[in-house]
Amino acid sequence: MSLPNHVSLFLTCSAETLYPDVGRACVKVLEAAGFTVEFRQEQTCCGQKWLNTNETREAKLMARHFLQVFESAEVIVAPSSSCVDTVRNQYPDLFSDDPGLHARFVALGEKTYEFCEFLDKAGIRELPVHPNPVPTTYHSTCRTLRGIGLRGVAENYLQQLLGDRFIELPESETCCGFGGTFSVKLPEVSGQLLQDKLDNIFSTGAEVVTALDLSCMTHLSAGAKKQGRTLRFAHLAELLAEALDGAEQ
Amino acid sequence: MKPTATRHNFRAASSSAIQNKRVQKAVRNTAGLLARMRATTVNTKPEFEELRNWGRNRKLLVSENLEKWVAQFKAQVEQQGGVVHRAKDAAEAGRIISEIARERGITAAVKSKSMTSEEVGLNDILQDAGITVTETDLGEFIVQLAGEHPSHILAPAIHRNQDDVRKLFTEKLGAPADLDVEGLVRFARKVLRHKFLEAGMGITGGNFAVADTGTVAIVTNEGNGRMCTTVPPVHVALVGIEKLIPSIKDLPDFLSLLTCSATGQRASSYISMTTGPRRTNETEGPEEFHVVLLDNGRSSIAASPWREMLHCLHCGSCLNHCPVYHAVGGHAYESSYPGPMGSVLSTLLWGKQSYPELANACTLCGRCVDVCAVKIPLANYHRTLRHQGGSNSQTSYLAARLASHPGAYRRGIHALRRMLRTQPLTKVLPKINKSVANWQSCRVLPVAGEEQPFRDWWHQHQPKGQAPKLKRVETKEVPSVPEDKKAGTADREELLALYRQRAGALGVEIVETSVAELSGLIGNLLKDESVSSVALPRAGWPQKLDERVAEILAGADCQTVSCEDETGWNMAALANAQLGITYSSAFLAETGSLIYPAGAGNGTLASLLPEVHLAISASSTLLSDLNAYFKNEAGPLPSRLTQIAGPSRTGDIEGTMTVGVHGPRRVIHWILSDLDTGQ
Repeated sequence: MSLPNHVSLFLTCSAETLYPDVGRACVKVLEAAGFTVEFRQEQTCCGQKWLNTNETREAKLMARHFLQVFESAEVIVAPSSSCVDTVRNQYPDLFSDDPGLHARFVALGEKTYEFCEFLDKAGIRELPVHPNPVPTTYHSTCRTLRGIGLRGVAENYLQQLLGDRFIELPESETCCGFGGTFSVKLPEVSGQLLQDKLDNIFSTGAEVVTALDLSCMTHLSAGAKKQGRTLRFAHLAELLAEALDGAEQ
Repeated sequence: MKPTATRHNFRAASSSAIQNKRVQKAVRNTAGLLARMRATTVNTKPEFEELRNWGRNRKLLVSENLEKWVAQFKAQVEQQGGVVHRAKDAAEAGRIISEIARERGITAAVKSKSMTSEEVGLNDILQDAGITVTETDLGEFIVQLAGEHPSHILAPAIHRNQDDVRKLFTEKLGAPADLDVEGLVRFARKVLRHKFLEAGMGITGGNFAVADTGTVAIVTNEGNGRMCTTVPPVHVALVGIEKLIPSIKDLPDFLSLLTCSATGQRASSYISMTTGPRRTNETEGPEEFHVVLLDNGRSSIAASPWREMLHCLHCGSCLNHCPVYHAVGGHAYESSYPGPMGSVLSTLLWGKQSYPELANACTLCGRCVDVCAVKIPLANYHRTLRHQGGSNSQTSYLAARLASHPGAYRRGIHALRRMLRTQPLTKVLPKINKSVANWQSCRVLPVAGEEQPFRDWWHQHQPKGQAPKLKRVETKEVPSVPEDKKAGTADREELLALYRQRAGALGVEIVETSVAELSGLIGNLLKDESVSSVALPRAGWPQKLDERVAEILAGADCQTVSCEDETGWNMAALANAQLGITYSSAFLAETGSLIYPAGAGNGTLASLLPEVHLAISASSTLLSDLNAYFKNEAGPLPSRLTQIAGPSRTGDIEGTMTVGVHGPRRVIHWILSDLDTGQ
C-alpha cells in the first residue's frame, strides 16, 4: 500500500490535556519515518463521549466540526484507537439519512489511522532497540482489538523494541472496565473490572504498561495510583521515540 | 420471569452481587470454560465466519416479514395434524397452555429448559391453575428446587457450586450427604424418571421452527428434551415467533451455529425434530402436538431499529464472554434474559420504565459482537438504547457547542490542565459532583504534568530535515488462497476416519465388525453389563437381522422388551431394561452422530431409557452430515427425527462433564461391513 507522505496529526483531547509528550513522540517518530507532519490548529475532540451516550445532536456537532477540519487532509493519524474507531466506524452511521454526507464521512474514516496501525500500513517493519528496556506489558484495549481490528501489530513492535523485557499480559483481550460513562454510572462493577485488570498487570511484574488508547491508560493509571503503585503508563509512541533517541546517541 | 412493577435498579443489584465472591467464582469458572470450549472448536472451523454471515442473512429474511413465515409454518403444522395457537402476550400463552391441560384433566407436566417459558412466567401460571410442573433439565431442576430463577440462559445453575447442590438435594430430596457430582446426577435421574412416566404433558421451547415443514427442533444434552417430546401423551412447544427459519435445508447450518457458539459442540447430544403428532401405526410419541407461537412484543421489535435482536439463537455466547456478566452473574439483571442479549432484550420487551439502567450495563467492549452466532450488533444496541430520542439536555448541548469551537476548546483544555494540577480543588470536586465522586471511589483524578503544552511546543517545532531513520518497506497484498472444500468431496474411507475421530471424541465406543461376529460380541456385552433385560425394537432392520439378535438374546436367557404394535412400549418394562439395541438407519461423519426416524414399529426410546445403548449400522449408510441426510431422504419428514451424538451428558454442576443423565451413560456403535441394506 502506498500512503501519502504528508500526515495530519489528530492529537485528541486526552493527549492534549494529560499526555502532551505522546503528541511530541508521534511527531518525532513520523518524521523519523520520512513523513512531513502538520497540526491543524482548529482541531478539537472527536466527541466520543456523546456517541457513547447516544446524544446524537451533540455527536453530530462534533462530527461536522471534525469533517470541516480534516476533510482536506491526505491522511489523519491519532494516538488513540477509540478516537479512530469513532471517526471511522461511528461517524458515518450518524448521517445514514443523508447519502452525500454519509459518503464524505466514509471517505474521511478510510484515511484516518491509529498511530501504530499507520506505521504498520506504511511498511515500517524494523524498529531500533530501546536503549534501556525494563519489564513492560501491553493491554490490547477493546477498541484496538474490536474497534479497528488491530491484532498482533503492537506486540510485534514491542518485541522488537524490548526483546524479552516485553511480557504478555494474561487475559489481555478483556476490557479494563472504563467504558467512558460506564465508569461513573456503575462505579462498583467498573471498579471490579479495573481490579481484575490491575491484578493481571501486577502479576506480570512489569514496570511499564503500554497501550494504544489513552483513555484506558488514564483509567488504569488512576486505579494503580489509588493503590499506591508506581507504574509507568506509556503510549507505544513514547517507547518508540525513546528508542530513536537512543539510536541517535 | 415477568419483571416486577418496581423499577429495576441495576447499580444496586450489581454492586451487591459483586460482593458474593463464591457466586462470582462459580460463574467465572463455568462461563470461562464454555468460552474456551467455543474457541477450541471455532478455531478449527475456518468456514465459521462465513456461516455467521449466512446465519445473519437468513435471519434478516425472516425478521423482515415475520407474518409470512408464521403463516407458512402454521399451515404445515396443521397439515401434519398439529395445532398452532397464537399468543399475543405472556398472559395469553399461559391461558392457552393451562386450558389445554384443564380440558384433558392433566395435573402433572414435565418441562425441558425453555427461556421463553421463563419470559412468560409459565410455571407460576400453571401452578395457579393446579398443574404441577417439574423442570427436567438438571440445571433448571436445581434452580426450581432452590426456589430461584436461572442465572444463565444455557447453564441455569451456573451460580451454584457442587456443595450448594449437595446440600439442596439432601434437604429437599433426602439424598445421601456424601454424593459426588456423578452421584448427584444419578440421584436426579431416578427422581425425574418417575416424573416423565407420570406426566400428562411435556412442555418444551423450540430452538428453531421450520416454516416449510412445520418442524420444531430442540437441542438438549441430557435427553430430557427427547423425553418431553416423546413420552407424555400431549406435547406443547412454546416458541417465540422469532425462532422461525425458512427451510429444513437451513436447519443443519443453524444447528451448527447454535451448538458451536454455545458450548463448542459440533452437535448437542440430542437433536429432536418434531413434525406433527404420532402417526397411524407408530408405537410411540404424543397423540397431540401443540405449538404456542408467542409474540409478546416481538412484532414491535421487528419494526424497530433493534430488529436484529430477534435473530438471537439464545446460545449464551455473549454471556460467556461479557466482563460485566462475569463480574455480577445473572441474577443482578433480574430478568429471564441476563447478560448482553438480556440487557437489550429486557429493555425492548418490558421497556425502560421496568429496566431503566440495563442499556448502561455495558462497557461497549464489543466482545459479545465478535462471538455472536448471528452477528447482532449488541454493543451498538446498548449504545442506541441510551438517551433514546436525544438527551435534550441544554448542558450537554452547550458543552458540545464549546467543544466544537476551536477557541473555546483551547481555553477549556488550558483551564482543565490548570485545574488538574490544583490539588485542593480535586478534594472539593467530589463533594459537588457525583460523577467525580464515583470516579474517585477506586481511582484518583488524573494529574496534568508540568510539561510544555503540545500547542506551545508545536509553534517552536522545526523538523530536522534528516534522512529517514525508520525504513519503509513497500507492502504487497498477498492473494488469499481459496480453502479446499471438505466434506462434500471426501471419499468413504476419509468419511469413516472422520466419523471415528468425531464420534470417538464424544465417547462413542466404535467397533467395525461383521454379522458373523454379532453373537460373540453381544454375549460379551451382556456379561460385562450384567444384563437381564434388553429393549429391542424390531422394525426397520435389514436382512431380518433383528431375528438374529433376538435369537442370540433368547440363547443368553435375556428378557426382551419390544414395541411391535400400536399399544407401544410397556413403559415400566422399558424403564427397567439395562440395554437398548437399535438399528440406526444412517450415521453422520461431521458430527459423529446417529440418526433415528420415527416410523411404524420404530421404538426410538430404546436408544434413550436404558443405561447402555448399542446401535448397529451398515457401513454403507454413512453420510457426511445432516444436510446430506436431508438430501438423501427427499420425502416428507417423519413425525420425530432424532440425531444422537454420544451419551447423554450434562455440565450443569460446576461445568463437570457427567454422562448418563436421562439417557445412556454408554453408547456403543457396531458398524457392519457385510450388511446389505438393499438400497
